Amino acid sequence: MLSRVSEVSYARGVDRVSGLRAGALTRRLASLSALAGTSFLYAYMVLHALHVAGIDPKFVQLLSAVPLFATCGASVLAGSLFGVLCHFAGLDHGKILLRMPKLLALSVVLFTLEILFFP
Amino acid sequence: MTIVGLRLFEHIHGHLGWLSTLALFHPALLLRSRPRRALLAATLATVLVTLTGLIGVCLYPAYRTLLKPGIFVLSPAVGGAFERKEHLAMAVVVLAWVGLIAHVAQCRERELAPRLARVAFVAYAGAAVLATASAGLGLAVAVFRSF
Repeated sequence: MLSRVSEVSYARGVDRVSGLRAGALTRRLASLSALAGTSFLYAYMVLHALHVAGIDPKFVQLLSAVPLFATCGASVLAGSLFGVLCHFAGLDHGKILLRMPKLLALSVVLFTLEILFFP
Repeated sequence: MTIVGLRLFEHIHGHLGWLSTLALFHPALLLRSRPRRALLAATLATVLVTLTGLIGVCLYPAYRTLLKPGIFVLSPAVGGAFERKEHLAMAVVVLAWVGLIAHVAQCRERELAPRLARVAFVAYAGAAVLATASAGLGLAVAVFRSF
């Protein structure tokens, strides 16, 4: 009887630990993807401003002959790279998620303003 | 692709654009006040907006060569509107994916579910607003000139 109880409690403990690990993993993934998405918007804003000013960086031109695709591709690369860097930086994902809604909202507003006024 | 094919895909792209705009408002409204499960709505909206974006990416090179020069000659304002639409659409796709990942994490997480739901809400709300602007600008350009 005792061994049966300990088996059940052990199984519950394993479930709880695996659940916590899965939760931590998805939390980290969500935080990193939000950071990557935000940095995509900022990278796009910078590259678009450079394109409007007539200064397209060489590596952006190499990505595609179409400026729109080149800017988007370079921004995706920049966003992904920033996400990977944040992954290795050992950040507190709870704190990031707390600030992320405001940061994301600000990024969307700035992006929209830049695109509307400097197409 | 022939002109008929381009015209067909342009129509599909336009209709899917408005449909995915409406679809993006659904998870944004569901997640506005408290953490809820809206996986189906979020996934469908994100898949729909991605599909619309992919069709747009396929159409863009033909637009650049066949339509863009003529539009800019006739009306630079309409040409500029189309350029704005394209940039906004890129952000819409990225924001929708950020929202979906945050929402999936929210469904699997108890402790930080409110924060994740907030991130998902902001991402979907931003995507929905930008998609509305993008679809509106696209419609204005399509009325002006199409394939």
